[in-house]
Amino acid sequence: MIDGIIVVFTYILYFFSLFFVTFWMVTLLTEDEAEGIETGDELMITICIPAFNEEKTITRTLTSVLQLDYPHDKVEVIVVNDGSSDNTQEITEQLIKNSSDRNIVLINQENKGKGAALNVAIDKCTGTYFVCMDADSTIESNALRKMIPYYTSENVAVVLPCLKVEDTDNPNIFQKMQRYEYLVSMFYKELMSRLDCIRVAPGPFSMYKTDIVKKVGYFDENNLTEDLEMAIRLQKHQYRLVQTFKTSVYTIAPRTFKAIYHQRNRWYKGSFLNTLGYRKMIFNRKFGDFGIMQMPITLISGFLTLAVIGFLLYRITEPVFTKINNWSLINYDIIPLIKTFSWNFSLLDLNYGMISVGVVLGIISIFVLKRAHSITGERVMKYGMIPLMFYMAVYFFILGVVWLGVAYDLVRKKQQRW
Amino acid sequence: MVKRKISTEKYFLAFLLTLIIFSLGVLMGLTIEGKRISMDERLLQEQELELSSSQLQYAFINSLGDKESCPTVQSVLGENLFNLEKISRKVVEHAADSKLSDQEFDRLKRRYSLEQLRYWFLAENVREQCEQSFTRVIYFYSDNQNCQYCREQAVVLNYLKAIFGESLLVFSLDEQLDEPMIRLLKKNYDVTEFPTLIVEDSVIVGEPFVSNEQLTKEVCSIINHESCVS
Repeated sequence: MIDGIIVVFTYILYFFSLFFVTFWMVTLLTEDEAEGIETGDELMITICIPAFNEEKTITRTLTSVLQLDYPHDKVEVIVVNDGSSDNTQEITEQLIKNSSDRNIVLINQENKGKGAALNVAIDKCTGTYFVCMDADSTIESNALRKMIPYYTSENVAVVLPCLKVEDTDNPNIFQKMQRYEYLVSMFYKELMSRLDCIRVAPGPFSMYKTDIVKKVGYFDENNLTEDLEMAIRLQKHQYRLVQTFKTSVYTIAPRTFKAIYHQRNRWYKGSFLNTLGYRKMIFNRKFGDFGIMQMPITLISGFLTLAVIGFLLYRITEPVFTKINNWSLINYDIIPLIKTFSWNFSLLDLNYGMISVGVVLGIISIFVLKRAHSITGERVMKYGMIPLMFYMAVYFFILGVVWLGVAYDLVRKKQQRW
Repeated sequence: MVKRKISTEKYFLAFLLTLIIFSLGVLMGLTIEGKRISMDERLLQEQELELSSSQLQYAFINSLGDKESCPTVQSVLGENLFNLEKISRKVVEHAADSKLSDQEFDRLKRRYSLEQLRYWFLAENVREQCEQSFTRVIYFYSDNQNCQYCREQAVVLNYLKAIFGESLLVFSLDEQLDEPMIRLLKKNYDVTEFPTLIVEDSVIVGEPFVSNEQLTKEVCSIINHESCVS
């Protein structure tokens, strides 16, 4: 019975995986990348940096923002100190003092969360465009010049830069694996951008049109992933989110498993709950490909990850346990079996179904990595072969553990704040 | 507001391409299945040739009363049976992997089972003629749904085969095969549960299968073998 279910599940999974991959390839070949038109307009920009205990990184972030290639009088920076208990406030005040010729505002408030911090800044902002900038990220100086032209396209509410993992001294294996993850996610973002299916505007340097954010009702202050919720809401109001690869923002990847778990648990939980919250958009033709494809995929991605991991674990561990159980029946006396072992193998005995799956997946992986490499300008083999192998073999299981945690939290209705 | 688009054409094209790739995969699987059947057929023909040779050797000994050749005949018999068992196992694996050729694999399994039973009869004749010391075990098995402990029983039999070598001749029969000879044997020995072992003419019942120790004891009560001392 179980074997039968596994076979049917494998075929369904294989068919649909192949279908989506084929769909993405067709999209890549037939759909054009969004293009921006330079108009020469230099409209007012507000950059908001919400900060909670960011004393170690705020200087770098603020400095990179101040170095943006854009008229200084057209850039307004609002740092919202969201109840930090470290020296974030003092350091920011010092930075403001040192850059007295720049338009920088510091708002101190008690801790209310990132959504509330962004909303405070939106109320104060004077910019036509509103940029959210995480306080642990740095931006390339050409960002505004490269991103603003995309607003010439109809209905664009958000423009996103290419998100990369920042080079740190002695990155560990977790950080190296996350670098690959970000590269691959950029490939996915490229496809989703072409289909108008982007479902999240990440914290580092997402640029919004201020009036649109106000029109749709500001950021949700009680949401685990306010950026994701805002992106879905904008899609609901038929606005577009556009991805560019002409400029990049760099973020620091968590160093430890615990930190990765904590970050991803919040992302995945937020993603699942928000998709569930906007369930009326699922399979709703009114929202185009976003409703027909992106929303259902987002909703089932967790279940699918857990199912695939369960399946893989079963396929890996079942033969091991069976072997151990077999040996226990003969009191672990395997020497006679080894002595009388005879090779009974022909090429026709190979499982060509599994081999085909492996070959197809291998070819797709190489293509995705090559493509991600070309659009982001990053070297795939920057850290050598080992982290890449680890990423391909282990990372999926790490994310599976996170999804397990999410499922457990949801079942026991754990309350969580940003 | 701009009306959102659904990439119907792309979905359709992707579905079509997926269907083509998938069909190619299925076609490849069927081709391999066909090749496997041909290979198993060829191996069976070789085994049939070996059986004919063994039968002739036995007829020769029987007609001339040449008992000096008995050890050679027994050795050939054991070796052939070992090879037949190995190939039978492969046929069972191929049949389990089979998607569309179940009937052909069932026919092959029947032929292999009949081949085993011919060896079973031949072994009895050789024993009578040559006064050789070996034990014949018929092992009735079934698929996992009908036989929870067949895997365990097979492990024990494999192990004891490795221990006793040509002194233990195992004949494995799939009780689900639609083969009158197997039905006859089942009826004759009143086999209703699986796994069941027939050691010579006695039905040995285990709880839930015949253990390593229990079967060793049975075999050692019939033959003298160095492994029986300990």
